[in-house]
Amino acid sequence: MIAPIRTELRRSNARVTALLVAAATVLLVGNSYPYWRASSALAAQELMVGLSLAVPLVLACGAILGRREARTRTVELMASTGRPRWQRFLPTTAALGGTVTATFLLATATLLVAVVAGDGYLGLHDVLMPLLGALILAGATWIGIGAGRLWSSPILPPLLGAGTLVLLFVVPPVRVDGRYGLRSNLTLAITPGAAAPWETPTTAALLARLALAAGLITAGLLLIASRSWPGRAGAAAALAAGLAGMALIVPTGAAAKWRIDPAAQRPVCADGLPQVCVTEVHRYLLPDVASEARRALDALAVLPGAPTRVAEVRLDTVGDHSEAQWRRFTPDDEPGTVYVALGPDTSIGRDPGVAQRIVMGGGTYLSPCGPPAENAQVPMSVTGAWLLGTDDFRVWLPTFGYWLSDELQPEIRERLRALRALPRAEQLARVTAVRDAARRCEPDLMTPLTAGTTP
Amino acid sequence: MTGRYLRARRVPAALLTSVGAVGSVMAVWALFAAEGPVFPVLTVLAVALALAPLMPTLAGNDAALEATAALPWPPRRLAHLIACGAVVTGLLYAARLGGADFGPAGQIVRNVAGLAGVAGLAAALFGAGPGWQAPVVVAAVQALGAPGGQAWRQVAYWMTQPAGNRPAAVTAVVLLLAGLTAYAVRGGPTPAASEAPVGQ
Repeated sequence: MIAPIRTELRRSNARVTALLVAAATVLLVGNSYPYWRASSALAAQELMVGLSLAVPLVLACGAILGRREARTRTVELMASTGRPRWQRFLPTTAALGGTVTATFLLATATLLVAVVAGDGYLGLHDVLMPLLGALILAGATWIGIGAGRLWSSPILPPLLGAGTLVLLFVVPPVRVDGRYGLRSNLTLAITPGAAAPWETPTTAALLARLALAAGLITAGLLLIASRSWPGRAGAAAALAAGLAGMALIVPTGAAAKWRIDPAAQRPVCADGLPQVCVTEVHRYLLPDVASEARRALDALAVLPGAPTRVAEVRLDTVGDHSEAQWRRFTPDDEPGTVYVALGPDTSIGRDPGVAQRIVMGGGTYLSPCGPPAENAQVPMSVTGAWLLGTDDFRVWLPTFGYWLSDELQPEIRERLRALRALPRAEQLARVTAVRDAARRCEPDLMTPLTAGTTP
Repeated sequence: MTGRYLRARRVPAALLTSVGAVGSVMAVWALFAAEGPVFPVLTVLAVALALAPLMPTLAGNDAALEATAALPWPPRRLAHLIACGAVVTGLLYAARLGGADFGPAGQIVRNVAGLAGVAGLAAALFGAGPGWQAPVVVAAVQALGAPGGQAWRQVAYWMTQPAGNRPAAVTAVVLLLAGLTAYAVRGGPTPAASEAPVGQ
């Protein structure tokens, strides 16, 4: 059987298809390298986004091969050989399906090597997702071959490719009233995506994709092997069952699709004092974070009862992509520790706002009070700039970008000048008052900053 | 003469498919989506969806046979590719009547022109049969881009930029001119005689 498969590899469009899958994956996944470089979970998720382009392409390439066989009567020629039916279609299906699967697995391996090489976190559970993606790709290829044999019009491949692309990209993510419905389960990449880098797909989310892969593979093989309408109807039923499984196995909402990977959340601390700890998944940021965090702790040291330790916030539940999710403190919170949420700016590959986020409001930015009120932005920023000794204050928040609009900078500079014009003891008293008011969850932080209210 | 040319290139079927594709997108939008303009990913992908079925019409069944005709082919090819772009532009603009707003006219024209250029280049390099894959891949990559950013990003993701964006417009014009020139001059690779019955 090896010799016929080798012949099919030369005869078919397997190599071109493999090239297209590789190009699609490289184009889409390579473009977001700074985003996934340190986490196998994020890399796997990006691969599944790449699959959204690869699946339509292999469907269409399969259709090209299938219609070619129909037009050249290859099926009739093979039918005239004295071989069992499965041996007649195995070489073609193995050549094209095997090539695209191998290409996708190679791309997966390359990504995981890049994650490890970049000192990122590799979770073995995360590898399951792209493995299922490879099966989905094989199934889509075979459905394409079957469809091409069934309808050998030259319009079929482009229509199948572009149509599937539109369906994959457009139908599932549509939100109704701001909520994801059942259709959001029909995306190859999990929707909504991971809200934190230590989240990994649940077993249900993986089973949903396994159901889809099984449906596609069964439908594809039935479509290729059958020459009668009952067989083709069976293929349609298998495809419908796969899609239904994908939609129904896992409930909608992030909590059912993601779970916390404890190993990815394990704390890792930098050498030396003061102690600075991050999660395992952010280990690659530790050298930069440690120096920035220690700079912030030095700045905070002028305040009475200043924190002496920095730790990255760890969530014990699945996130919801809101800024408020980082304020759900865990029971192991320790006094004397200031918490910070980390997330690199993907355009530069590091987190540029660590020190600023730690000193904001005298170390109270991430407090259980919830997000600061709109009118608290200026006093929190003024205290932060005063502590760091800067003239303005631009703070970068993970996933949200820069927190303050440029319009606020003149007011921050003006308030800062007014604060620095006061005697040193008064300056310190006002900054301390802002911090203490923020700790008490008071909504108005401007009064202690301007009127010198003491705690 | 024109009728025979169009039939030889399977234009009626391709045109119906293209109309059906845009109609399907309109139906999907009407069924699933809320009010307002079509969201950016769909505006980009709809161009590829409408253009892809027309791509096989950029070549006939037998290039060798066509070459024997004493006709000036470059102007015909030029007109054919421009007509494909015009049809897609018209379809996407007319979709407003069905409640699917694919963006301002300038943006539709720019995106269709650029992608038609990619289609022309692909047809000239790989042939009209497999050439449709290039605009589909380009559109899919574009769909994942975002408007704005540095100049090189505006060029790279030209289809997602707002109407009136200069780098995006220049990119689309360059692609269109390159595609028109390549397709008009070369047409496509000449397949082997044994490939003629396959049709691609």
